[in-house]
Amino acid sequence: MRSVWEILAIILTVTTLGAILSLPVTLPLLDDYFTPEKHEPNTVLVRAYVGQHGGFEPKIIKLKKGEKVRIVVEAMDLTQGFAVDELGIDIKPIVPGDLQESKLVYYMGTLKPPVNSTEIVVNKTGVFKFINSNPAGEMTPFQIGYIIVEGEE
Amino acid sequence: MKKYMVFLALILSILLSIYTAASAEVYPWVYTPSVEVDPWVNPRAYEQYGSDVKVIYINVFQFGFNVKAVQMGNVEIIYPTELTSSIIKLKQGDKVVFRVKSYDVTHGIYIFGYMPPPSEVVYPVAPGDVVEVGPITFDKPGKFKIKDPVPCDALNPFDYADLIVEPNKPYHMLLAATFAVFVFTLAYVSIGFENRMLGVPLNRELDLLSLPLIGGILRRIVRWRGTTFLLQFVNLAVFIFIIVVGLIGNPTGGENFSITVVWILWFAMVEFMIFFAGRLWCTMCPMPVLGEWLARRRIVEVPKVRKWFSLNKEWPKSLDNMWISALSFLGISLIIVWLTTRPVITSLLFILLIMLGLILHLYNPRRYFCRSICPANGYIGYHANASIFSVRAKDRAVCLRHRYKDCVNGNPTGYGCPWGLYPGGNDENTYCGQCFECFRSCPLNNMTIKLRMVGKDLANIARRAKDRYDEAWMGFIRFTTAIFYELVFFGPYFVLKDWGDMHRAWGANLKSAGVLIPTIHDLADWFKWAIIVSGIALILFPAIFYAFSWCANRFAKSDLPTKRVFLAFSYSLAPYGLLIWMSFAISLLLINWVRPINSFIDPFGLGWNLLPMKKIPWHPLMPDKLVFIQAPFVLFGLALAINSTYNIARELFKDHRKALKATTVMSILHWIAAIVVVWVMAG
Repeated sequence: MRSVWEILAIILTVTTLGAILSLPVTLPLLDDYFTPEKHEPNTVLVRAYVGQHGGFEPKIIKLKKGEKVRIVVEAMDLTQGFAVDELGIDIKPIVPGDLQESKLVYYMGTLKPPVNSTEIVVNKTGVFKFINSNPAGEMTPFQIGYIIVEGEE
Repeated sequence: MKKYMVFLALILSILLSIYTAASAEVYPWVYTPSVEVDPWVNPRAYEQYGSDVKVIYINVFQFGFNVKAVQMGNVEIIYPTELTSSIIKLKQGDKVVFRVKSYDVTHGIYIFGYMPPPSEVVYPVAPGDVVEVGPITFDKPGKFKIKDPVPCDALNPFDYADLIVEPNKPYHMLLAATFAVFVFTLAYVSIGFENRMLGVPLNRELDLLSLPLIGGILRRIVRWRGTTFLLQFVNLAVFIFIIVVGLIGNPTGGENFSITVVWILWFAMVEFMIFFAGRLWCTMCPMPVLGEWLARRRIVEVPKVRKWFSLNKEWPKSLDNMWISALSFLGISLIIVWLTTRPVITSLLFILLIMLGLILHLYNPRRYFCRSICPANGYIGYHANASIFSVRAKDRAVCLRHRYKDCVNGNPTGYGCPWGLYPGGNDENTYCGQCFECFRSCPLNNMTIKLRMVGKDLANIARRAKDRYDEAWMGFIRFTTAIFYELVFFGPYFVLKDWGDMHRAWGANLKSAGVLIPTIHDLADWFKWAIIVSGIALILFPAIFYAFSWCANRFAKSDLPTKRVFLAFSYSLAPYGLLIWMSFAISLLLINWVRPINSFIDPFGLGWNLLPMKKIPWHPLMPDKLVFIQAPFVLFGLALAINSTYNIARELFKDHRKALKATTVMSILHWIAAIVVVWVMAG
C-alpha cells in the first residue's frame, strides 16, 4: 500500500514531467500564445536564422494586392537584414533580442535605434524574392524566401 | 552485383567527403585576399586627431579580435605577430583610434571600463564596413578586456581580446600581494600553531541543529522526507526542461535557456555552494533520482517491506573510487567549448547522465552512479572537504554504543545510507551526499549539521590517503582546468578556443546538429587542444608537484616515502582549487549575469516575453574592477593552501620543524601557481 503522500508525489511528478516532455508537440501552440506579433492584425512575423539554422521562417508569405501589411523581422541568432529588391524594401541591421533595447552607432557616427519592421502596400501581383541584405556568413546567399501577392491584375 | 556496386559507391562517397572535408580551408571567409586594405587605412588620421594618435586596425571575426596593424601618426606601421595579435599593449596616456573591420558577420567592439556599456550604446561592425572608434585616451593602467557585444553565433560569449595599459600597476600590485600572502602565511605557520587554520582553531564547530529556535526548525526540515523530494522534484523538472529546450530551442547557446542557466548560473553557483553548503547540490541533484525512485519502488516514503527493483549486485571494488569521475570531468572539460555553446550537446550530456543513473541503479540500488561515475560528484566531493559545512554525528560515542546501525541498515523511517557509508563514524565530506537519510533513520537523533573552519578534516584525510591516487589526480585536474577555463572563457587566445571548438562557427539544436560534424583538420586541432590540457592536467602538473614533494621530503629529512608525502600534500589543492574556481565563477557571473535573466524571459529564444520586463542588453557588472574582485579569492586560496600543507605535514611528520621545512618548499609551488593565475587574470 502506498501512502497518500506517495500517490500525490507520483501524480505531481508524472504530470509535470509529462507536460515538459510534451513540449516538442505543444511548442507551436505556446509560440502562438506568447508571440504578440502573431495576434496583431495585418502583421507578418518572419524569424531570420542564419542559413545553417534554416534561413527565414516562414519562407513563403502570402499577401493580397493593395493590402497594408506590417512585416516584423526578428533576428534569432546574429545580426540580419531583410530586403525585397523589387519592392524597394531593405531593413537592416536587425539585431537579435536583447540588443534591440540599445542604441547603435551605425555607421561612422550615426546614432539610431535598431529597426526590425516595415510597413508595405504591394500594388502589383507576382512573386517577390526576399533575401538577407546583411551578410551573415557563408550561407547568406541561401537565406531566401518569397512574398506571393495575389489578386486581380 | 548490384548490391556490391551500391556498397562501393557508398565507400567512395564517404572517402570523397572525407577528402573534401580534409582539404577544405578553415574559415575561408575570414581572410578574404581580394579585400583591399586601402579603405580600411585612414592616412589622414594624424591630421584629424593630431600627430600623437595611434590608429589600431583590428579585424574582428568569428571568434576573436586580430590586430592587423598599428599606425603611429602617418609614419610607422607595425604588424604584430599572429600569436599575440589579440593582445594590444599601450602606454598610459596613449590616444588611440580603433578602425575595426569584419569580414564574416556583423560584430561589434566594446572595451571594458573605457567605452559606454552595450546597454547604452553599441558599435556594430557589419561585414565589409569599417567602424572608427575613438580617439580614446587610455589614462587608467591595467588590463582591460575587449569584447564583441553583438551576438555573432556560437562562440560570441568567448569573443575577447586583451588591452593592456602599461605600466600594468594592478598586475604588479597583485604579484606583490601574492608574495605578501606567501611570506605572511609562512611566517604564521612558523609559529607552530597546531590544529588551526589562519588563526581559527579547527576543533571549534557550531552545531546548527542545537541552535535555539532555528535548530528546531532546521531539524524538522531535514528530517521531513518531503524536503529531499521537493528539492529533487523541482530540479528534475528544471533539468528535463533544460534537455527539451536544448533539443528544440534556439540553436544559439546565448539565446537558449539550457546553456545560460546550466553553464552560467548553475556552474557558478555550485562552486559557492560547495564552499558554504558542502554537497548540498548532491542533495537535490536530479540525475540519479529516476533510477533511485525506480530501484526503491517509491518516490517519497519508505516501504514497510524493502524490496528493490534492482539486481542488487555488488559494485566492483576496482570501480569504487574517483577515477571515472575525475577522468569524465576532464573529458567534459575537453569538450567544454561545445558544451557551453551548443544546446544540443548539453541536452545529450544530461540524457546520458540520467540514463546512466537509471541503468546503474538497476544494477545496484545504492548511489554508486554518484560515488564513482558522475563527473560533478568527483570534484564536489573532493572540494567539499574544504567546505565550512558538514553532516556529522553529534556524539560518535553514542553511535558506537548503538548496536543496530539504523543509519547503515535503514528502518521504517529512513533508508540505510544510500552512499554506502557508516554516517555515525564518517569524518569527511568526500562521499557523503548529504541526502539526510541518516537524520531520518537515526532513532537517537544523533545526526547533525556542523559549521566549521575550512579544511578541518584535510590533515586526517591526507594522513590516511596512502594510495588515493584517484583523489590526488582529481585535485590536479581541477586545479589546472580552472586556469584553462579562465583562458577559454575570457582569454584572448582565439587559437586555443578554435582548437577546442573544432572550428565550428554555428550553434546547434537537434535539427541543426549536422553543422557540428567536424572535418579531419578540425579533429586534428581538437586533439592538439586535448593533448595540451590533458598533458598538463594528468602529467606535467602532477610531475611538478611530485618533484616539489620529493624536495620537501628531503628538506624535512623525513623517513616517509615520497609517494606518501606527495599524495598527502595533494589535498592542499582541495581548498586552493576551490577558491580558484570561485574566482572564475565570480567573473562568469559578473560578466554574463544578463544571459540567464534573459533566458527566464525567453527560454526557447523565440522572442517571447514571459516576465513583465524587457530583455536586458548584455553588459558586464563592474567591468574595470573584475580583477580586484577575483584576486581576493586567489589570495585567500593561497593562504589556505599553505596553511593546509602545514597542517598535513604536521600530521604526517609529527614534528613542527620538519613540517615547516616541507611546507616552505611546497609553498613555493603554491606561490608560483598563484602567480600563473594572477598573470592569466591581470598580466
